Amino acid sequence: MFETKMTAIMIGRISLLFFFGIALTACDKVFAGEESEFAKPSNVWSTPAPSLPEHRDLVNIYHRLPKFSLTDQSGAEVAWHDLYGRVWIANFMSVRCQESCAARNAVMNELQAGIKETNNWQHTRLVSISVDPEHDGPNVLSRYAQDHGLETSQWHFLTGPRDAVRNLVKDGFKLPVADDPDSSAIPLLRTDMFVLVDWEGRVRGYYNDFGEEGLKILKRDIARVTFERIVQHPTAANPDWINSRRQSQLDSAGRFDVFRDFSFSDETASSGITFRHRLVDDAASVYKAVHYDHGNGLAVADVDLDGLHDIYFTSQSGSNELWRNLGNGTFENITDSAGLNIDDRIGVAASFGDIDNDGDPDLYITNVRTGNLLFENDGKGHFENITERSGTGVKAHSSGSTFFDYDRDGLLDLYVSNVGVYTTDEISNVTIYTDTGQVVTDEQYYVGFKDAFAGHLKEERTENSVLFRNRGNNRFEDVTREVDLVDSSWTGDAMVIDGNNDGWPDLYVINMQGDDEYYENVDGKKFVRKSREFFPKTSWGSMGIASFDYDNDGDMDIYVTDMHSDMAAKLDVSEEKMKMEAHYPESWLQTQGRSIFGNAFYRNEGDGRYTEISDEIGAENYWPWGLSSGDLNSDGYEDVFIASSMNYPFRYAVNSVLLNNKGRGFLDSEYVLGVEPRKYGITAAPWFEINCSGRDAGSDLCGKTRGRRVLWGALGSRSSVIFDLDKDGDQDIVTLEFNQPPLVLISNLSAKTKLNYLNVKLNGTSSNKSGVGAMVKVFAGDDIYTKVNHGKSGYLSQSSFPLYFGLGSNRKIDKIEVTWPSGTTQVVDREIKLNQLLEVTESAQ
Amino acid sequence: MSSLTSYKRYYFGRYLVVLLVTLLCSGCGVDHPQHRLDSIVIEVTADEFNWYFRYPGPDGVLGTGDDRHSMQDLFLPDNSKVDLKLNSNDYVYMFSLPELGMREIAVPGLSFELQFTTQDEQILDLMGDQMCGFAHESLIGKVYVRNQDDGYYDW
Repeated sequence: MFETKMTAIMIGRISLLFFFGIALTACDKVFAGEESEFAKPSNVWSTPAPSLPEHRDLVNIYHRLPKFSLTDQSGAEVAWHDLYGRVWIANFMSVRCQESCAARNAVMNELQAGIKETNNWQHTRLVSISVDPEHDGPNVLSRYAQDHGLETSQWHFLTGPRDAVRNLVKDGFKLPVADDPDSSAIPLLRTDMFVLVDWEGRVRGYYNDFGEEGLKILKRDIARVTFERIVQHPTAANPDWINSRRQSQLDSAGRFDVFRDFSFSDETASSGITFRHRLVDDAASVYKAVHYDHGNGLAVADVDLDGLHDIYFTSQSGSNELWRNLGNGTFENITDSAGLNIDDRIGVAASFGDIDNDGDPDLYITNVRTGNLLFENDGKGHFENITERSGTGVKAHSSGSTFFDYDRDGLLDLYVSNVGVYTTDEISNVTIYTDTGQVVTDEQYYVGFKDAFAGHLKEERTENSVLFRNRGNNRFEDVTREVDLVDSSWTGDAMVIDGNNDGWPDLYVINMQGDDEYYENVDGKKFVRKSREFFPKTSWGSMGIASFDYDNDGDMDIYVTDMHSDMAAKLDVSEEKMKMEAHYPESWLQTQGRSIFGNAFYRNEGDGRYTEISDEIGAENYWPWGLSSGDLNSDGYEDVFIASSMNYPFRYAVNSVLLNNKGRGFLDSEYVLGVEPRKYGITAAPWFEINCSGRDAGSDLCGKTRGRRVLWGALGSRSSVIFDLDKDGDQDIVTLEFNQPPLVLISNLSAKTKLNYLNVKLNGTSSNKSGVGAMVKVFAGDDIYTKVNHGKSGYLSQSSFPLYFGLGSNRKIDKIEVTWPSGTTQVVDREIKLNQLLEVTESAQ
Repeated sequence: MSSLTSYKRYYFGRYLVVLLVTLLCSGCGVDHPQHRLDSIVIEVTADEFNWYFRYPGPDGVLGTGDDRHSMQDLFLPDNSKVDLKLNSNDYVYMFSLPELGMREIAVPGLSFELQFTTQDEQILDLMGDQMCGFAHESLIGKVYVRNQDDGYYDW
């Protein structure tokens, strides 16, 4: 977010050069007694190149400051993120420079007094950076402020290691710096300039005229830059409930009798992953309630078979990206070399599946109306586009895709979930928010219907999902009608379950605007709709689905997240664990009173019955999208991560982490495990920019205001994958963030406790090679741990990685039982070492 | 946000519309119907975050030249069956009368109805909302149930 991006456009105006000239002369008379020592700043210039404003109401944007961390007069760390979401004025001082510095600080003090009288005061900070850091320690600076009677509640006097200060001044503020490396007594060159820095850490102006006229300009720019930000929803940037909620969750952690003494840390920066999800404008500057805001998925697989799991991120605009796992938690972008640079589609999600049984994960990618894509992997992480000859290039409003072998012929078939027609034929260019403002790209997208959210009421907007049968040789045929699987739900995804325990994989289809559907697979030949027989009531706005054995009773339970019900009314933070009470009218719902307005959890009773127990076990949360399950504390019970929060223009919602209380309920744990609050407490970011003195003048967002306005929106995730990213034996989490870089959340569980676990990799022979659809039971003491290798790792996507079995305190595995899709059951009862990857190859029957 | 705020902001615009309607109608020389209404059909159309209400004029028939119009605020005759025909020209809207526990959607190309019977003279809240979008103060107004003997058509 804070990389220095020097966007060289053009060298500044003549007036700019002029004031740098003044700055130079101002600098060389500062330090009494040390002038003669002062090195000439010959090679220290980097000229700030502003993006010139289109209109005089617009304040320049120069460049973004790099991340920095210094120490203030109280000895506290003050870093870039402490000033993120503030407007600040920086100057450069030294206690030893006396009069000149004192004069400048007097100007700062006067500015402070002026701003204090305005509403802008709460958003403003003053920052005086000492360029004599060896001399000006915190105590010296503190005394200085006291001696000069300066009010320091919002005024940081910063010091730090000389290099840190030097780099910030030279490379950050791009101001002249000079020092003598042979003499530590010589401070850095000091400029007399004030620098205005905006809400997101961009330099917006340099000022060195402190006369009446100059100060007027400075004050005007401060006011304009402060006015620029509009936070939508108004509480998105600084939710006042974050800390109290954190405290109450920490206070409640005492009742946990599951292991929780570990945490996740956001290691996105050190992972090297620079992918950033990008939007289409329907989710930003021309926001409307359209299914684009449902966002995207991510999928994980070992694409080059090096034993490390790589990540494929999808994006609406810009290319999806494939990041190769280098080990040690670091990644490199191999999108281009993998042949996966796709920048001509509006992406949605992706699934890995070995379609040709050659032992490597192939890739299916869904897009909005621009054609889905199928890529065959050569086993080295190079992908070939085989869409056309495979016959799978659906052009629709596709969403999730699911590989499964519905006819159990040993080849993975493919179910593609299509939402419904939510776009018009109008084409528009994508604009993106950059460091220097909103930029129109040449990428295009179909503009959404203004009434897209009523699509389920309009038959002509139906778009059936598609079942493709794998005929071998990477050829697929559409058998949707042949097998009676014609589903017209507004669906984002489907989950493969074996509801009637007959060995044939059935389908649970989630519907984001109405009843979910359940289709029973009859001998791989037909699908029969048995929705209400199995699931009398379902979530009205189903968005995500996971299936896992929640209570270790040997069968698969089902967890459905409901997003659309959370849109029905404003929900107070205190009500997030409750079902939505404000319903839509039946004319809208069309479900004859049988909907659940929130998440659903179906406990599998083992005899073909499911009981809905979401409220009983605490499965409700706020504004969910996709969910992932995984044994985060390795105690043998599957836990849950729910990617949540709607972003612009709604309030912030936390990602939910639910620790499984040994099959008796879920414990809210996002704060306990350090997933919330987000790093540095940042909950909002710039979303897009409008020009109220130009092209957007008079628009709803501008009203009668002028100048540049930057709309900020709440952060939010859409999807996640839980897997052992760094091969240390515990489960990490990677998310896909809407309009932001992902979160790489690394668990320290393995360092906190002695782990007992087993990874199981399946090699099918008569079944499909990757064993998709196999059920694995691990018997250890009195415990039986059951998992199905369905690959549905998170929202809309499918991944391919070994099954992770946390074993709690069990130190011995008695046996493993694998029920393969072919129907054979295989028992592994030789001695099995813990904490390893066990490969089980399907035995010939 | 409170409807009070919306009142302040839209005070001028609303009264301008009312004034125009009044001027137009007085210009046409249209008189009030002499009989009491026991039912009324009103067309409600949402457009760019505004409610437009179209009422049958003195001929009692909706869709003729003597129809009357209002915006944001809805005017109803007392003790009458009311049939609101909801429609939208763009987005999906929710039309709610919280005091009556009634809400219905307005969707382009589809028609939805809200039927109820008014009581004596009263003022009710009209809560409008763009489904899943921004809050719009212009969609929030009042329902004026007017005494037919004393000024229903005086607005």
